[in-house]
Formats: sequence, structure tokens, C-alpha cells
Amino acid sequence: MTDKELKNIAPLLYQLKKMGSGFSVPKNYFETVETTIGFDIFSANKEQVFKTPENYFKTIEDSVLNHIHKTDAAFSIPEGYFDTIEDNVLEKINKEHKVISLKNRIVKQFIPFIAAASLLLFISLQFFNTHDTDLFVSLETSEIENWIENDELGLNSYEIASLYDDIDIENLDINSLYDDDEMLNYLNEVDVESLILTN
Amino acid sequence: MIDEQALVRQLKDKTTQEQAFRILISQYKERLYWHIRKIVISHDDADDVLQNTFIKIYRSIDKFNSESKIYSWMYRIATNEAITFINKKAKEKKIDISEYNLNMIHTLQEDSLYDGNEIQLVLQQAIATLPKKQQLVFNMKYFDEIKYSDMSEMLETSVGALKASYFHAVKKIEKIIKSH
Repeated sequence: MTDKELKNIAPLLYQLKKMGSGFSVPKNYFETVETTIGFDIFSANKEQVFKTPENYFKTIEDSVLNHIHKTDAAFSIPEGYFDTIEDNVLEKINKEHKVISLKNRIVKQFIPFIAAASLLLFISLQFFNTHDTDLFVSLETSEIENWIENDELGLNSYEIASLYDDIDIENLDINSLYDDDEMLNYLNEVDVESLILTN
Repeated sequence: MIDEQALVRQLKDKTTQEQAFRILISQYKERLYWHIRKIVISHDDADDVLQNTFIKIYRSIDKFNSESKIYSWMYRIATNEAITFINKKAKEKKIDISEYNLNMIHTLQEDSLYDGNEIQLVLQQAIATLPKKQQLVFNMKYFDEIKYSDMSEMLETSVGALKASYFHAVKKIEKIIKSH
């Protein structure tokens, strides 16, 4: 497609062509990139420049082993160490046995006392728990009402309604219970959205 | 004007290879850079891909068989490197390549190495909506003015198919720009 054809088919694109893509590069980028690429490529060849002494890999094994043997000889142990070690270990084991058996004796003597104290605690707790139910009976009715009004009951409207299954809600005639004025006054005072039941 | 055949001989000869390669980099670094940049969008990514491209060219020079021009062969390597690069990036981000391209265009406004105005940005966004190969054809013809015969070697596609692809790309992009 020639420029002339482009101008006919796509005049906007033809005008934009002179402006270029809009992309730019850092200053001196093309001067430096050549050096970078050259270094990347030609430095890889330089590993061939390094050389090793003649027979290096043949002699290195002996050299390393000699070094290891010398290091071994640097460590020493007390005279007769392996003869006495057996007695030392057994002595330590016997000492530990004596400590363990003393602990066992002490624990066995105190078990009956611990059991008796636990039983006493259990009985006294049971005694105090029964007293709690009396507390409930002594609550004032007004305190219970306040508790329900403050939404502490944790029951929703459906759950409360299910308690009154003797009332036929479907056939309930509200009009006979309240006149229009009373209903309007009530609706004006209350927040209607709070009356909406949600699942 | 470099004698391409002589250059190729020098590139394959170990004794003259380094010198010849430096000439090759000098001659083609800018053209390859801009081709790569239009695919990967970011300068830093283009820099990485450009270096990888030349390393690959250096390592593969013995395989170049002069059936095509060395420039076409290099362009092909650069295209493959750039597309492999963005596919890898998209995979790392777990998004498809179209989304990756659009995300890259969206970052252009904040890119200090983008000087385009609003309409040029719209043009880049329009190009990003094209299928990948059509984007290549459009950029290579519209911005780089590469001949269809060379493009055919680079993209291994017939001249007829390239002409049709470019025509459709131009129509589509013109429509997008007009709607803005």
C-alpha cells in the first residue's frame, strides 16, 4: 500500500505516520548497547585463556589426601582414655536411677491427699451451682422485660411467632382490633423499616 | 553498503568472527531494537531481548545457510525471541497474551520513555487489539516500511496474505481512532 493509497483509505493514520510511534530511548543508549552486547558475547570465549600446570589433575588427588592425614595427626586423646570411659558412663547412669526413685516415693505418699482435696472441691462447687437457679427466680419481671427490649433475647420475629401457634395469623382481622386513626398514628411514630421481617 | 556475502564468510571464520560480528551489531542494532520494542513495549524488556537476540545470532551463525538475507534471518530470530519473552511474562502473571499486551499499553502514559500524545496512545491501544501476527505486519509496514518481499522471508508468510492482513489492520485501526 503506498502512502497515497493510505491517505485515501485511512486519512487519520496517514497524518499520524509522520509523528512516529512515540517510543524513545535513554540518552546514548545505542552507543553503549554495542559495548554491552560485545562484552556478553566475546567474554564467553575468554574461559579458554585460563590454563593449568602440567599433570595438575593427576597430582591433586595425592596432594589432598596428604593434607587430610596430617590433619588427623593433629588431634590427640588423654592416656588410657578408652579404658576408663566405660566405668565413667556406668557411674553416671547409676546416679540418675537414685534421683528418679526418690521422686517416685514422694509422689506416691501425696496421692491420697490430692484425691481427697479434689473430691471436696467438686462437692462444694455442686452445692454453690444449685443456688444459681434461685437467683433466676428472684429476678424482677421488669428486669426481664428490659432485657428483652434491649434485644438480648437473640430470637427473631419468626421464632417468637412460632411460640403462639394457637393464634391463626392468616385469618387475623386487624381492622376489627384497631381503627384507621390508631394505625396511622402508630405508623407515623415507629420506624417502619424495623418492622420488615428478613430471612 | 556492506557486501553481505563477504560479511557472512567473515562471521563464520573464527579468525575474523569477532570483528565481523561487531560490524553486524553496529549495522543492525537500531532496526532490531525498534522491531523488538514495538512487540514488548517496555525499553528495559527490549534491551534484554535485543541482547539475547544477538547472543542467539552469534551462537547460530554456523546454521545460517544464505537461503535468505542475513537481515531477514536476524529479524526472524528477534521476532521469535520477543514473542517468547512476552508469552513467558504473561504465563508468569497467569494472564493471556492479549490481556498482557493491553496492560503494557496502559502503563505507557507513566513511562518516561514514551513521548507520544493522546492520539498516538490511542493508536498504540488500537494496535494492541489486533491479533499478534497482524500487529507485526502493521508495525513492520506502517512504521518500519519494510518491503513485502522481505517481510515474507521474515514472517514466513506469502506476500498476498501480508498485503491482505495489512489492509484489514489499517481499516480496523482507522475506525478505532475515528471513534475517539
